[in-house]
Amino acid sequence: MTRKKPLDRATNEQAAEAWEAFHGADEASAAEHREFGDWMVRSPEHIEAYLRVARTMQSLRSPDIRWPDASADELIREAKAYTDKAVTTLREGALAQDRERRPHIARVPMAFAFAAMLLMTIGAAWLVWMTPERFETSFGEQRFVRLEDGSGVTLNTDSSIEVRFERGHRIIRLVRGEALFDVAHDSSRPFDVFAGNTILRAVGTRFDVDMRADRTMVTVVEGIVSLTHGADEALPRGNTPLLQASDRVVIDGSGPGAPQHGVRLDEATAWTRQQLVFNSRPLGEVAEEFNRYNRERIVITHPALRSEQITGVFKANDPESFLTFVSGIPGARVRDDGNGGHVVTLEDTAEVKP
Amino acid sequence: VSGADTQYGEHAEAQADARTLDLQIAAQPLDRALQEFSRQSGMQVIFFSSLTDGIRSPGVAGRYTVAEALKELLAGSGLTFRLINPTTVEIRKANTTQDAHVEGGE
Repeated sequence: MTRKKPLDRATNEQAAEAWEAFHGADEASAAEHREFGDWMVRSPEHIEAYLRVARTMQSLRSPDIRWPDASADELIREAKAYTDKAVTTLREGALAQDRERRPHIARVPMAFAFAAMLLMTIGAAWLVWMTPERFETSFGEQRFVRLEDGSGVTLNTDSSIEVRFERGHRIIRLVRGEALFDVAHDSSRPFDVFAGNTILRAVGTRFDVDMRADRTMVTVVEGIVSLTHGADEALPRGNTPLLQASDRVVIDGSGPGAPQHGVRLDEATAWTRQQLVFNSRPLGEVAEEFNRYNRERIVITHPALRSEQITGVFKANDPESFLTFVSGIPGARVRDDGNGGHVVTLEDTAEVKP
Repeated sequence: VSGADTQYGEHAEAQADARTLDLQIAAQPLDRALQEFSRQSGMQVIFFSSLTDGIRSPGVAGRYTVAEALKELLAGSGLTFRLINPTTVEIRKANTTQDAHVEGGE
């Protein structure tokens, strides 16, 4: 699991905070350990960020652990080998400790125990993300997946998810594309969907996540979903925006926008019936929707024509009928792009007049 | 149309012939009524959104051919329809634009 893109600032800051918490003046409490562990397993980025901070700080040096400028994988291997012998120390020292009863715990063993715990956590978290179950669809394909907890996931064209279930946590990562989640109720095991920098948590609900290059769109069909983004990447809590049925949030480069209410759900879920439903959508976007499912691409180049608002209902696999409509627009010119697709232009003199 | 579309088999016959459809579409904004028509008939529908701005449809209830149903749904709107192929309806302005303005006037 190599990662070339830079880690975002929020992640780095959190990693630095975690480091501070564990290397500051006081021993970290069991609660802090737990919090750290939770944070760690949420994303491979977290692990990497923490490793980098630790490396920068030149911390955690011990005879047994080199803290080299090695790859994350290498660090994990060492960590695993090391933690095998350190588990006992960890249990007795760091985790179950009540600081008030034993205020004079020696610093060195404590740090040692913590180092072991940390590396075990990193190792475990890393493994979690190394071996998720992956489900994918290819271009033009859709697929329904029943997960082991009874939840259903419908994958749209050219989409991919990674699924990891743990005792207290159901973690889904939308790697690419769009998925409709039908979440089986289990309040003891939150269902978190990671989509880029956004986390969506559901208990029992139905919602759609549509991830594109420039934005991610979340639409709640039933129930309630909490949304956490970027900097507040602690576990979703009460103060995160709660989205209800017919709410939609669009997340772009600048973060989540204000929730839209009363969204038309037939439009959001039409794709699960192989349909495209448009309510006042720009013609250019409508063409792009067809292009998600069909090799016969339709590209509308003229800006005025692209922005014309269209309402309609189509089968996703019938771009021909849509093209017939487009070619009937006064002044519109359709030509082959030489690859089995079509380019639509507008004659210079023409105005779009419905 | 030769190729029956199995995916939409239950609506495959709902093409623009003399066959009748059982439709129950409430009075509502025209754009929604047309989408509901699509859902119940299996016909594809498309139009420029601005055409239906502020226009309500009286709806339909009962058995209709596609053409009859669309006429009812578009009653008083100044709009008409054409079949761009046997499974797709385009909603457009009525050609006689003068008449369209008079229609519905008090």
